[in-house]
Amino acid sequence: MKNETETSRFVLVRCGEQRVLIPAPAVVRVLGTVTVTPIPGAAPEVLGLTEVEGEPLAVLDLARIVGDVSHFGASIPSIVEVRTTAGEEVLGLAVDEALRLVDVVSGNVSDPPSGVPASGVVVLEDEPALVLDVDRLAGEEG
Amino acid sequence: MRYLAARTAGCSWAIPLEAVDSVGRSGRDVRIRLKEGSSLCVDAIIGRFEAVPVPVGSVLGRFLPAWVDGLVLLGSKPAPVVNPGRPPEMLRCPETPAAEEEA
Repeated sequence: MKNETETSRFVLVRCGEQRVLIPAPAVVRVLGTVTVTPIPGAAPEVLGLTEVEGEPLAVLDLARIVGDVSHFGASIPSIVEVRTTAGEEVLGLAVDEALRLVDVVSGNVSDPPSGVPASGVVVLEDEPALVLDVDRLAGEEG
Repeated sequence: MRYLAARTAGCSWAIPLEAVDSVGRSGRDVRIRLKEGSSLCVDAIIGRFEAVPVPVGSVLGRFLPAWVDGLVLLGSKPAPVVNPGRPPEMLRCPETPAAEEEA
């Protein structure tokens, strides 16, 4: 169990009406506007594929993943590229805006809502922010 | 690995070249006959590419259809790799023989 005073660093992003904290160690880079090409038959969470520095990257709709309404088209304002710790996968998360780095004391993290891949909720400037669990993006078994 | 790049429904598809038996025409479609026996119908062949596939892991795999056997760049365009053993339904040819075939 984590020490109540342990501090972790996150990238705070805005995705529609939601604010989401993505663990900084999982973040490979933050990209500006990209265009994606769809994959027929993929789940609605998959916006499509793009190319980043000579590699194909699958881009997931973070809004859908955290239970919000999808609002992205083929052109996405920003992508946070993340690496899972469990599967060593690299994925792109579509967001509206990467806001800033935030340090969070673990004692300030409360329980997450059910049904979303989050490890907790933090109140930042009187507004809640979900703490994303990158390894559970596909659900409990992911 | 070498891939045959095809386009249909506005999307690019990468088909492992080692799984391709022949390519020919079937009406307005291009018909790709696979060594395993089935045939794929696409709008056009884009070309042949050498590419290193990026495997689909357990997280992404839960969001993608079973026919996706990795991701590649065809030139600078990303594309899913078609698993020749279970190709997507939308690429399967209707049950009519190819009108003419090229090697």
